[in-house]
Amino acid sequence: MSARRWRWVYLLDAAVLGGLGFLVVAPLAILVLLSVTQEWGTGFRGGLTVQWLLEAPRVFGASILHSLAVASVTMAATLLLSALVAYGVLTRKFRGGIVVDALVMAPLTISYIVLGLALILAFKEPPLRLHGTVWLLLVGHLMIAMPLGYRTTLATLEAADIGLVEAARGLGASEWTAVRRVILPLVSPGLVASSLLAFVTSLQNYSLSFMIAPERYKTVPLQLFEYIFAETGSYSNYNLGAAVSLVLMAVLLSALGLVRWLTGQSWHENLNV
Amino acid sequence: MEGYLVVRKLRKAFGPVVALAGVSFSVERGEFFTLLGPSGCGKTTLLRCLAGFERAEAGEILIDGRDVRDDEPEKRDIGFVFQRYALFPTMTVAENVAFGLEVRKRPGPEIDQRVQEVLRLVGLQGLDDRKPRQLSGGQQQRVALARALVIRPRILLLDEPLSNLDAKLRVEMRMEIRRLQKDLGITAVYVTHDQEESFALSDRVLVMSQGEAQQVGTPQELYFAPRNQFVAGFIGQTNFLGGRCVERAGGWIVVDCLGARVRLPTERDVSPGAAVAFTVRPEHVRLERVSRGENSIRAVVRQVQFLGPTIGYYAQTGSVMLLGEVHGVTRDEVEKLPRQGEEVWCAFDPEDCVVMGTEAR
Repeated sequence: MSARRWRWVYLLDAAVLGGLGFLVVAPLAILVLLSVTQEWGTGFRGGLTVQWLLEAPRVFGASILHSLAVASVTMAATLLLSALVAYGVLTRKFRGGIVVDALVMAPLTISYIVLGLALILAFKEPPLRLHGTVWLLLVGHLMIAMPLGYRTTLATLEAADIGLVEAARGLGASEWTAVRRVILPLVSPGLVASSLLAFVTSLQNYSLSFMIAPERYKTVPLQLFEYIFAETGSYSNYNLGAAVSLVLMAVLLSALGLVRWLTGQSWHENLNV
Repeated sequence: MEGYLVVRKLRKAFGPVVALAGVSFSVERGEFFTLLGPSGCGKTTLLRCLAGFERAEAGEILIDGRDVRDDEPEKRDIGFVFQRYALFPTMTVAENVAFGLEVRKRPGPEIDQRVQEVLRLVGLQGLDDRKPRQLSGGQQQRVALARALVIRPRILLLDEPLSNLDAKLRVEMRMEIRRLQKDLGITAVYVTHDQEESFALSDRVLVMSQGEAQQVGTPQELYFAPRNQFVAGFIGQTNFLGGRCVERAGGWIVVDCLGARVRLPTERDVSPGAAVAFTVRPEHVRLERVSRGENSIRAVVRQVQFLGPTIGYYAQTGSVMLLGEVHGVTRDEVEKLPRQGEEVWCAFDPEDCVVMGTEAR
């Protein structure tokens, strides 16, 4: 009786896993296929090529650099602000933790298109005339990266027992030394996770960037969209688009590897975050 | 002339909740001083104010004559042992212990030497390279102790350091703590809710309740001469009794209590007819089969609890339940003791009674 029921659970499990696996793997496989084949729709019959992978950095070079720059700055700012705010809230350095929380999380609830519009309207006049500059793009990306980064950082710090700061201060360490020597090593895996979330949030964003990115500072998603849905351009080039995504993925993975190497974490440790 | 640590009228509130309502006391150099009280009485808040983890709103904390009330914790030169150890999880035992010396910028060889010295002192030699999570609770608390001792603090503060250990280890560790404190001549302030622990460890104990100091004294003073009902009730077990004064002579009064004449020692001026409250400890109450006249209350045994070294009695008279205790009874004697339902006389000596309050004239 119960053995039978368990078999059902296994079957269901396998079905769900298989389904999910297919949903993830299929598009990825097509992505790889597209980036190394001659032409859309012909598959391997058209022959293999590295043409797109080589062309990707040339055509998309500028936007890749823009995207990486914006994502890096967004990541750094998110990391710093999240850590400061989360630490402040947890140690009750200031009142109104709930208000801070609501403020940080608010952008999640607004459509990015509308958020972009609001940013333009708010910053098109002096004193803060940011519209049309890369600064507005950075502000926007910071706003949408903060909710994820902040929440992850807060959870990490909560799990780390802030009481250890007291222990360190009792032993004669300044608060900064206590945080740096005791808390930081403890939370660095969580901070890496938080940074990565912020980084990819910025890297992936289309709708907000579409609204506020300066004409001369296109990010990868914006240029990709143009390439794939080119109506007036020479041609829609899916293969090149796929190749660009692959290149970006490679950049991301190596960055991740570098961070892990720098913070001395094993893959295993990071999975435990 | 004054203590090494002097606390004067310390006040601290969390919003509307008053945690410390003006507490004062003083601790001598080399003294083991305990703050004892039920949970929520303010003892931990007081200790945290001494450490600088909480900031008191009013009053003074003088260490060696200087007011440190508003100093940052790292400026106070104190050692703090936490209930939950608070070891640094990413550091080894040796690194944990060395931390306080490193932030004090001591030279490397000195740090190594002092760390080894203190690890030997707390019996942890050879465990230098372990991480805290690889240690037992008792070992972790030893590391915490070593970490606080190695900086040679002016005052060692301990916040219920034994309450996460099992009963046997707790007794061992408190001997250990007392030995270390005496050997090293440390001034220690210790927080606990466990009366037995406080007595086993301390030179003097401050009993606290609701943010106020109730009484300060040696364990003997608190036990034999509790100043009020709270102290009498919190320190060990006791019987609270009362009656009307019927007779008064120099140094003595006689009250009518539960139908018996009870003689009590008191210097107070009590007029006949006034109400008198007094206490007598269970271990001073004997159960006898015949009345001795004065200080014998008639009661019926309701429950007998055999606890090994002691036997506890609950004897009822009217609506009052009297607690009695018999100690060190042999196997043969046990058979002869009163049983449940038997009528007995609860007898006690006048000298063992403490008058707590008398009705004003």
